[in-house]
Amino acid sequence: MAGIGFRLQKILSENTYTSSLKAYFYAAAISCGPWLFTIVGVGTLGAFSGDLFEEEAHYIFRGILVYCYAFSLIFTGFFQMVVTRYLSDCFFSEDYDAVLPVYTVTLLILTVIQVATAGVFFYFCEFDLKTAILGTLLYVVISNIWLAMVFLTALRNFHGILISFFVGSALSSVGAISAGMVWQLPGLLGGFTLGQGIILIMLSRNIFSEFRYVKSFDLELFNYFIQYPQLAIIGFSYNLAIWIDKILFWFSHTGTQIKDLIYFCPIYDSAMYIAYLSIVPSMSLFIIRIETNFYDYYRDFYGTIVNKFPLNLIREEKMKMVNSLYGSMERFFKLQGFITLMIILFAKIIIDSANMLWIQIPLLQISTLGAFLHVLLLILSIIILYFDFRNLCMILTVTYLVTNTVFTYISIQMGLKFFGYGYTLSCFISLLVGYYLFAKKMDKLEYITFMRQPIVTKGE
Amino acid sequence: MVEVCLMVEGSYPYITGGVSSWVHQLIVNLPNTTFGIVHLTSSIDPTREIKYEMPSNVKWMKELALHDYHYLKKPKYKKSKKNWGEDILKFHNNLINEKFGTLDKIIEIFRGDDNGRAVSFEELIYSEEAWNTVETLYSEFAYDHSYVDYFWTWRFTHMPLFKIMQFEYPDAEVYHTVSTGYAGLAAVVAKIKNRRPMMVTEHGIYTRERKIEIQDADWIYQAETQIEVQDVKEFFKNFWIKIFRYTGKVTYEYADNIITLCKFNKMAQLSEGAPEEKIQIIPNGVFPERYMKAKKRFKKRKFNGKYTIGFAGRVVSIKDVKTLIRSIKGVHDVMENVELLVMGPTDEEEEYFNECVELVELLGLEEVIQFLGLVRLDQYYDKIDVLVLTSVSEAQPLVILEAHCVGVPAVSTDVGACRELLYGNTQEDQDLGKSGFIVDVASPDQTAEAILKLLQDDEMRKQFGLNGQRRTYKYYSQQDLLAQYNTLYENLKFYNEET
Repeated sequence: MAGIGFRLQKILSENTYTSSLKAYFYAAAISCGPWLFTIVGVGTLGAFSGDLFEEEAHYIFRGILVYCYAFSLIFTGFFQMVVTRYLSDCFFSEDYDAVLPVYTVTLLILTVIQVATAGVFFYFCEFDLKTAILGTLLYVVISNIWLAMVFLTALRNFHGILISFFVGSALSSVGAISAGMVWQLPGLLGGFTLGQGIILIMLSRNIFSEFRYVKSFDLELFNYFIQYPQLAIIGFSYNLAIWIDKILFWFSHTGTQIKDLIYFCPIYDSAMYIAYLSIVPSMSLFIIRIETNFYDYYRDFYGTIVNKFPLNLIREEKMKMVNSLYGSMERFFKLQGFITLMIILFAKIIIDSANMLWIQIPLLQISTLGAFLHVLLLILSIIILYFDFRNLCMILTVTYLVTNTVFTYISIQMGLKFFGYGYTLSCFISLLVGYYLFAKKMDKLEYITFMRQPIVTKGE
Repeated sequence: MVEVCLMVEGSYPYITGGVSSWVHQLIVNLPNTTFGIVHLTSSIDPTREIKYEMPSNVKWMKELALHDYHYLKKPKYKKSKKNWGEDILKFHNNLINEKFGTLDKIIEIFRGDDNGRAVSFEELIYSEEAWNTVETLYSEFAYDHSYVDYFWTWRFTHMPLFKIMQFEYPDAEVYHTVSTGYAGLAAVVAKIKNRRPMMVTEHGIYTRERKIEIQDADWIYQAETQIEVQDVKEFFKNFWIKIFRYTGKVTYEYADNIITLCKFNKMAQLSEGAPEEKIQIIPNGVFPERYMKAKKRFKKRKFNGKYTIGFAGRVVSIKDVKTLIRSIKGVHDVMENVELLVMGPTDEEEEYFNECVELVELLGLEEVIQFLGLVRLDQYYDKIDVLVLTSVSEAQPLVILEAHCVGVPAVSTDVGACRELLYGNTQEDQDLGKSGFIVDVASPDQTAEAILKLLQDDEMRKQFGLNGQRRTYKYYSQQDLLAQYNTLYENLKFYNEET
C-alpha cells in the first residue's frame, strides 16, 4: 500500500542548543579591558606631565589621546560583538582557517573608516600637517588594537595581550616622554604612537602565529551583520554610552576648549577616571568567578538538555545555575560595596592627595556609586549575552545610551551640585530595566530554549 | 460542489501502485459521479509528474503538504484569547480513556468558531500556552523520559496534525478517504467542518503498516550533528505508533461506512476498534476482459523446456524479495530448467534493490533471475507458469487475480486476503477448488517446496489455473464491485438530505 514517505530523516531540524553556548565572555573582557587601559594610560601620562613639556603641547597631546581612545572605541564597537560572534561560530565548527581572512578584512575596512573619520576631524581643525598625520596614525593604530584584542580574547590568549601591552605601553611612555622633550607635540604623539604600533604588531603576530593563512579575503563576516544586527548595535551603543556623558561635558559650558574641536572637562573627567579605577579589583574577581563557577553550571544546564535528561532534572540544573549567579552577585556586591563605601567615606583624602579640587568631592562620591551600578550593568549584559538574548541586551544598552545622554544633559543644566547624578541615575535605571527583563526571561528559560527553536525541513 | 471528495495519501495521481490504480478505476467506472481529490503529501516536490490521465469527472484537486513548514526564524503570531490548552488536554484524556469521538469538541481551536479567530499554526507550535500544554502531557505520560526527545517527537508528530486540522477542505456531498492515518483524519475534519457524511476504504491496515515502519526505524527524529545520537528509545517509537493508532481510531469513530477488502483485514480493523456494524467487505477486483489476449496466448503456449516463475510487484522490503530469491535457489537446486522474472520498478528503495542484486550474485543465480523493471504485466502473465508472492504484508494483491484471469496459479505468503484468493472465501467459493498454495511468511524452504509441487505436476498446475480463473470471473469482477460504491455514495447522499 502506498503511503506518505514517512521518512523523518528528511525533517532534520537545526536545533542547535549547543551552538548558542557562545563565548560571550570574551566580548565582555574586551568591553571593559580597553576602557580601563584608556584610563590607566591617560592617567600615567598625566602624572608625568610635570614641567617636561610646553604646557600647550601637553594639553593638546592629552586631548588628542583621549579623543583617540574614545572615538576608536565607539567606532570599533560596531565590529566588536559581531566579530566575536563570528569567531566563536568559527571555533565551534572548527573552521579555524576562516579566522585570518576575517582579521585582514576587518583590519582593512576599519583602517579605511578610521582614516576617513580622522581626516574629517582634522579637516575642521587647524593643526599642522605633522600633528594631523601623527594623530590619524595613532587613532588608526589604537582602533586596530581593539580589533586585535577581539581576536586574541576569543583565543583566550590573555598572556599574549598582557605582554604586548606591557612592552608597548612602556615603549609608549618612554617614547612619548623622550621624544616629547625634543620635539614637543609631534614628539609626544610620535613617541606614543610608536609604542602603540608595537602593541599592534605584537598582537597581530600572535594572531598570525595561531592560524593558517589560507586566503586573504573573506566577506562572510558581513552576513553576520545582516543576521545579527543587534550585536552591532549593542557594541556601538554600549561604547557610545560610556563616553556620551564625558562628551556632553566637554562641549557644555563647563567644558574647556584646548584647541579647535578638542575640548575637555577636567572637573568631570578626573573624578570619573578615579571612580572607574575603583571597580577594577572586584570586576576582575567577578569575571574570574563567572568564568569558573557560573560557566560550569551554565554548561551543566545545557548539558542536561542535550544529554536527554527529563524536564525536572533540567529545571533543577537551571535552579543551580541561577543560584550560582546570585551567589556570585552577592559576593561581588559585598566586595565592591565595601570598596565603594570606603571611597565615598574617604573622598576628601583622595581628592586632596590627587591635587584635585574640593568641589569634586561630591562628584567623586556620586560617580563612584555610579561606577558600582555601571559594573553591575556590565555584568548583567555579559550574562544576558551568555544566554544569547540579543534583543534584550540591545534594549539594555540602548536604554543606557539614551538615559545617560538625557540625564547627563539635564544634570549639566542643573549645575555643579548635580554633576555625576545623570550618569549614576542612568546606570541605576538601566540596571533596573535590564534586571526586570532578564529575571522575566530567566523564569521561562526552558520555554525559550525549547520553543524558540525554529523548525527547519531539509530538502531531499 | 462535487459529489465525492476523495482523500488520498501519497499516492494517486503521482505515484503508481495498487491504491492509485484502484482510485483511478473507481473514478473512471463511475463516470456520472463528480469527484474532487485532496492529496496529502509529505512535501511538494515540483519535479514529480501526474502519472494518470485525469478523468473528466474529476473537478478539482488540492494538495496538503504535511511537512512543508515555513522557516520561521522568529515566529510571529497574534495571541488568541482563549485558554485552548485546557481543551486540548481534555481531548487527550478522552483519547486515553478510549473516547475517540470528541474531536469536534476541539476543532474550533484549530479552525475558529462562527465568530472567533482560530489559534494560528505558529501559536500552536511556539506559544507559552503550547509549552504549558506539552509540559502537562509530558509530566503525565512521559515523566522521566528524555525531554529533548519528547519535545521534538511532539513537534514532528503534531505539526502534520495541526496542518490537517487547519486545511480548507472544499465542500462535497460525501468525503471518502482511501486510508486511515493522515488522510483519515483529514476526512474526519472535513466531515465535522462541512457537516457531511464520511466513509473510509482501507486497502491495507494503515496503523499496522506504520507500526512496522516505525519499529524498523533506527531514527525517530534524527538528532543533528551537535547532539550525540543515542539509541532511540522504545518509548518514542511508541509515541509515533500511538499517534497513528489514535488517528485510525478517530477515523473509524467518525466514519459512516468502513469498507475493507477482505475478512482478514476486517478482523484487523475490529481489533483496532472499528465498530463491526459499520464494516462492509468489498474486495478489490480486476477487469477480466483486459486479459483476454494473454489468456489466449497462454492457452496456445507450448513448453519450451524451461519453467518460468513470475514475481509482480515493486522491489521493496515489504515485498520481501530476498526470501523470494532464496526460495528460487531451493527450486533451482532441484530443477535446473527454471527462471524467475521480477516484474516491477526497482527504483523505489534503491538500497534494497542493490542488496537483492548482491544476494542473486552471492547465490550464483545471475543466469536464473532477471529484473525486468516496470513492464506491462498483461504482456507477461502468459509467459509464466506460476506467480509467487512473498510479501510480509499485503491487503488483497491484484496480481494474483490478474494472473488467475490468464490461468496462472500462484504461491503466496499467508498475508491479507491471499488465503481467500487461493483457497476461496465462502463455502461456495471454496468448492471451486484451490488455485495455488499458501506458505508462511519469510520461509524460503516452504515457498520453494510449493513452487516445485506446481512445476513438477503439469496437471495440477493447469487445474489450479482454471480454478483461479473461475473464482476471479465469478467473485472479483471489478465492474460489479465498483458499482457497489455507487450505491454507498447514494445512501450517504440520502443521509445528507435527511440531516
